[in-house]
Amino acid sequence: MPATAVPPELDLPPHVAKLYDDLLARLWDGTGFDPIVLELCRLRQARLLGCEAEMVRRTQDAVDAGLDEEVVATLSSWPTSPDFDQRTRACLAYTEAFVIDPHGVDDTTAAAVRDHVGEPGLVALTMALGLFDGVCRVRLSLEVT
Amino acid sequence: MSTSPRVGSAVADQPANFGTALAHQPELAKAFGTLYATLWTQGAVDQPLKELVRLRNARVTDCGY
Repeated sequence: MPATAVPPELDLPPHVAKLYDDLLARLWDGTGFDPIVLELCRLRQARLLGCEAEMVRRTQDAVDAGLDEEVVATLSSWPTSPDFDQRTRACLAYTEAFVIDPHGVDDTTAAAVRDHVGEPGLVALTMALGLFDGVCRVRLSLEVT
Repeated sequence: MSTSPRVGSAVADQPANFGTALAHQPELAKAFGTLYATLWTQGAVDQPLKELVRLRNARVTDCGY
């Protein structure tokens, strides 16, 4: 279970913070989605959105699973770097399409993810991206780190 | 834009939609629903204003669903 991604400056009511933590726990521990791939997608999304606070932090579940910082350092070159397998590339391509314009997500990009992680995985990744996107936008809009 | 859902329904005899697609991850869906309901029904912003914000958000992102 990671520390909450909600900026403490928001001072959320405890019961709301708990519900948010419960959702995060389900996301990272309960979907069957590879936490390293999910963290790479989260970091790529944060980069595209220019969210420094989300770029510098790491989710403990991914670290515990063996997240490699040398791989993280090459994340911007994921389409060609040998550090990324086909499953990870499919998820990162979907992530980029989601961030740039969700209307631009096409059947091929979505199917590539589905082929690697199944429909439950595609749902988990999409929900995760929506959640991560929201956190980045909250941080950027309120200028909280 | 696809003309058909990219994720099928996880609920027997029901068409694919936001809820039945989320049902592929039932525990995640439950946690999301609980948080969403709490944000919707509680807090400093009244519900009519939240609805206006939600609708404007949908309009700006061109989410016809």
